[in-house]
Amino acid sequence: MPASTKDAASGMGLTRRQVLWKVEVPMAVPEIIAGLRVATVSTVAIATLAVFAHGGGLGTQILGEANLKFPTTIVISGAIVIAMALCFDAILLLIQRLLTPWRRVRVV
Amino acid sequence: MSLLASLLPSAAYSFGGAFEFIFSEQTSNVTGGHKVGGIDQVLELAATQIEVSILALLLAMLIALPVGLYFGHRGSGELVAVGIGNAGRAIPELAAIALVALVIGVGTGTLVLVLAVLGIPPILTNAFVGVRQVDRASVDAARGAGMTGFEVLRKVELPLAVPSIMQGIRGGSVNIVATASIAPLVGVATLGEFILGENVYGANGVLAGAICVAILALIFEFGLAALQKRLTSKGLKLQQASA
Repeated sequence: MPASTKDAASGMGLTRRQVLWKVEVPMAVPEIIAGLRVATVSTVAIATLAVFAHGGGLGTQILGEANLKFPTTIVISGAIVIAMALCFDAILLLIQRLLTPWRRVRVV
Repeated sequence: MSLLASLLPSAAYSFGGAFEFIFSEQTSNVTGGHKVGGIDQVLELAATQIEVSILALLLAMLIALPVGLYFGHRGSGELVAVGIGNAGRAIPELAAIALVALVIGVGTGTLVLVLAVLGIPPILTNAFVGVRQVDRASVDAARGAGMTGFEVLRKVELPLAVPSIMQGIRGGSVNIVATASIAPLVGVATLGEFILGENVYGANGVLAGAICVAILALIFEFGLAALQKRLTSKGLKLQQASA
C-alpha cells in the first residue's frame, strides 16, 4: 500500500475509518483473496479426511475396502476433489474480478 | 451418520484423560489387559513422525527449491510456478496416498513421497516469489559488478529471498508434520496410530494423539523460525528493523 495513496485519501478529507474501508480494504482485496484461495483449495482437499471422523464425503470412496486393489474409484474421487477445489478457486477469482473493477482497465 | 453428529462428542474423553494417556500407560479397550499409551510409546511414535516428516521435507525442498529459484531467477514461468502451487494444494492426500500405495506398495517410501507432494506447493511458490521480488536495482548492480547469472542468484538473490523461502518451508513443514498422521494407512506407525485407532486407544488416546501432533508441528515451526533468523543476513535484518 503506497503511502502516497493514503496521503491523497486523507488529503481529500476522508476520515481514518473511511480511508480504511474505501481505500485500504479495496486495495488489499487481491492479497486477501489470494490468501482465501490458498486456504480454500487446501481445505477442500483436506476435507477428504472427514471419512475418519465418520463425516462421509468423497474420502469414503477412496477408503472403501473394495477399492484397495482397484484404483479407478480412487482416481475418480481424487479427480472430483481436485476439480471441486479448482471450481472454488475459480469462483474466488471471479469474485476478485468483480470486487476490483479498476484492475481491469488497461492503462494506455 | 450426519456430519453434525460426528462433530458431537461420541465417547467419553477429557483433556485430563488425554494427558494421563500421554504420560502413563492405560489399559486398552481391547480385552486382554493390553497396555497402551504412556510416554515411552508416545516418544517412539513421535520419533517416527519426526523422521518421516524430515525426510519428506528434504525431498520436497530438493524438488521445489531448484525449480522455484530457477524460474524466479529467470523471471519467467510465473504461470507454471503459481499453477503448480495452486494445483498441488488441491491434490487430496488421502487419494494420493491410496494411489501411490497401490502402485509401489505400502511403507515409509510411499508415505515420504506423498508427504513431499504436500510440501512442494508452498516451498515452490515462496521460492519463486522470494527471488522474483528482489529489488531489480540490486540485481543490476551485481551484474554490473561482473557477476555471472549463477553468482547473482547465489550471492544476491538467494540471501535476499531467505525470509520468503523460509516462510514457504515453514508452511510446508507444518502441513507435512500434521498430515504424517495418516501414516498408519500405509503401515507406518506415527502418532496417527492413536488418532486413527480409537478402538484400541480410546477417545482419550485420539485426543492425546492430536495434542502431540499439534505440539510437534509447533516445534517444527519454532525450530525453522529460529533457523530463519540465523540464515537471514545482517543487512536484511537491519533493513527490516528500520522499515
